[in-house]
Amino acid sequence: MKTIETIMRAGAIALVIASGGHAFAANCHDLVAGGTYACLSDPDDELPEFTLAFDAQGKTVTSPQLLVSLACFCSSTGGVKKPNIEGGRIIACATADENSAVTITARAQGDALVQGTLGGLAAGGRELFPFFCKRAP
Amino acid sequence: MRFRRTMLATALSVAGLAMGASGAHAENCHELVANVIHVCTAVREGGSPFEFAVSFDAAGEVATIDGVPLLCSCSSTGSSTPRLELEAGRQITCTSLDLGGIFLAFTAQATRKTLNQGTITNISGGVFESPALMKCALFE
Repeated sequence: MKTIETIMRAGAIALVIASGGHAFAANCHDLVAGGTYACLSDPDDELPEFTLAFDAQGKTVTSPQLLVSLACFCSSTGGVKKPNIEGGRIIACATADENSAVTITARAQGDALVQGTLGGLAAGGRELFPFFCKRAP
Repeated sequence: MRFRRTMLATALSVAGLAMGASGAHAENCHELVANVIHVCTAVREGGSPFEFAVSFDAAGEVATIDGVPLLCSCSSTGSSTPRLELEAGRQITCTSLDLGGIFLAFTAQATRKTLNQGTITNISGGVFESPALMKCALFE
């Protein structure tokens, strides 16, 4: 009985080492990579539904409705002495020209994007939409 | 004993009312950063930490870093369409316009005195120039 227990324990430790901790610390890029998301906003808004399609690395996103490509980065965790740069699950994506910017921010959570805000920002005004998304199977 | 319990319940009610009266509602990111200056430390992968200041306008909608204005939005809340609340959250994301080589963006979790779990980056031609962890404290 003790031998089985020892083998099981060793196996569990080996699994943790082999995974490099990745299974437990996926950042926003890992969570959205290659995903296409169906997003809903306020039904009374200009853009009640839209699609977000992330590239294989989860570092850029495009949308047929927005007609732009946005570069994405993750929130960080840890501190200045021990930083985990882009180790977080908040994803922020942005694109801009000299007159305006488009931003998307959301929390990657399982197969969803929650607490999302899509923004069109310019010096003269701002147009913002709340949203949440489900990853398409 | 019953008297003590009643007193305790009354004290809790009074405390609750006082909190309500003092405007202890959930503040969104704009309210948390409005009209303040943060001193921030950032560090890139393998680099040395560097400091900079982020000042916010009175509405908490425009941040300025090194003279570059960034336009800010808050995260939203709610997970179904009737319950979505625009910009009710505390995650702040700010981006500059593309000023030809300078296109700054950052995101962070705002509290009354800090910006935490932040990342700041310069996006040039759709590509990031090594994002940095960013941590800020209120300049008092």
